Amino acid sequence: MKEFEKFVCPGCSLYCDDIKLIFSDKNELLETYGLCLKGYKKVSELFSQNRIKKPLIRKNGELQEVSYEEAFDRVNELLKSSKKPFLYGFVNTTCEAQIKGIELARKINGYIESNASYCHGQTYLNAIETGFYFTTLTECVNKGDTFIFWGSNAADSHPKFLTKTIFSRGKFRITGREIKTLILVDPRKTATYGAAGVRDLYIPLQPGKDLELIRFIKDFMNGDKSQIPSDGFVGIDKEDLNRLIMNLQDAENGVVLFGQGVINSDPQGAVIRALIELVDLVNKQLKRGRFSIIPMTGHNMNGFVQVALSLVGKTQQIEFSNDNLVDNNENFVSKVKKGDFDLSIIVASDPISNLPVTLSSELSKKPLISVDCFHTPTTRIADVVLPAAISGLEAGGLVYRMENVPMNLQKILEPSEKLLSDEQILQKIISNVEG
Amino acid sequence: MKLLLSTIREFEYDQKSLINELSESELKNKVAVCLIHPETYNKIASRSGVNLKLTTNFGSVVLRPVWDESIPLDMVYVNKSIWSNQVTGVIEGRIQLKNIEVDVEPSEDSVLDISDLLNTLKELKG
Repeated sequence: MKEFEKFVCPGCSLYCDDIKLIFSDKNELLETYGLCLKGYKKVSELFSQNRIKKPLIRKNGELQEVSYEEAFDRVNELLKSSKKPFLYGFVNTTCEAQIKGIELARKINGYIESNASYCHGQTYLNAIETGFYFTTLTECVNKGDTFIFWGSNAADSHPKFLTKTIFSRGKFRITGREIKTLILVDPRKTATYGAAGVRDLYIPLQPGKDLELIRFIKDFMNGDKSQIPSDGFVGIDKEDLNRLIMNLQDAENGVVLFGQGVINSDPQGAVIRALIELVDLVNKQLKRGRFSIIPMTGHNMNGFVQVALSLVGKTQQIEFSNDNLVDNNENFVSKVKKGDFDLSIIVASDPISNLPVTLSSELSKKPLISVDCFHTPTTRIADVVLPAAISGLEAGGLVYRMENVPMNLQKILEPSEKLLSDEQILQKIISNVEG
Repeated sequence: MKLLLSTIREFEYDQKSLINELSESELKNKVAVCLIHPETYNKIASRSGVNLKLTTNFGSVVLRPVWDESIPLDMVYVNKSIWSNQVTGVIEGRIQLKNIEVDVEPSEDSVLDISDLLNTLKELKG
């Protein structure tokens, strides 16, 4: 039997480090302790029938199994004939692989962006200009008394988040759940609403009205508006809106946790900026304590932001020419839509399942190299598929938790079929390019 | 019926995780769904079990309806997947995933298989 104590779960960006796994000597999963359903499914991926076990190359229209050597040769051929390659993905992997991705982009005069570019990348782009009050999960546990989930269904996206923060007892919050207020701002009563009690608050915001609500609260707090309309505002009852504002003004240690609902309701990022400004205003007016923000990111999205900032000083729109970073106003979406690339290398991501068909059509037209652990719609239309070990189970490495705390993923099992890690695959491609 | 469409990523319908444990037909049955309030559904279809065709400015898709009383009355929610991608799109370089105007009508058509959707993409290959 093999026991792994304090295993760091790679299931989401919470990276829970209080997990115990027990495997048999034949690597069968015998027991798990502390995993949520999402984490359990992640660990179970080790045994999925959907694993890619051999590299694949498209020959005569069909994907055929080949050796790593033949697949890497084909990748090298494609790269040699490419003048505008781009790399994309890099969220469901380690920082070591992300570093190699940027290194490869530099070597091949390529463009690289992570999935963050149309997700929480906007948060960090705004933060570069405005800054924002950040916090950590430990701070939430020990001091947090008000948790506002704005367009975020934490119970579903980060299942143990509520257990860790709302239902826990901290150093200065030893009474725990009883004195913690949960506020849910969402058009829908999501699974997170199920954790709400009598002291908590549900704000049934009308779809797409986030910006109007934030501006109203700011005006009210600034004294520009003195009254809440008697019939409420953007679908919110007057009393509920009043309670929301009171909670913002009276919290000792509050945190706004926002997710896809905020990011996607305004793709231009205005809601994120308004939310950052609201928290800024609240902090200026609070007589004690503070409010902070945590973006509810996915997997190692923050890792790519950290890596890219440290290597090239920017988080997205990273393009190289002659070993140098070049200015670029195009983002991944606009580049793909225009067909402004001639080859794509997709690492640990499935854009064909995630991007609108107008973009996936463009991706399909050009040679596509996919590095992934599983068969996905993207691997099925790829020209070369390089199978990888699962990060956090068969390959270790650094990741950044949702509040930018670095964590170390462990390699607990040898990958089946001697699969290479994302980092090793990218290093091999770099070595081949260097000749 | 004119509604607003929002994509979500809910674990129960998550293609990324389910693709590793279900067959292609099981995956379609589980993921290619739209969440709709039963009252809204009853205004669109005269009986239960009728597929819905969703049409936006970006495209259309046929999905199996799933009743969910937590969905606002004027909305339909679709989990992000290769099916939802048929009705989302790009405006001014930004991906539109929330609050998209959508026309929802009953449909006798079947939900497309993942292979059908991928074949359309494969045909684009040079």
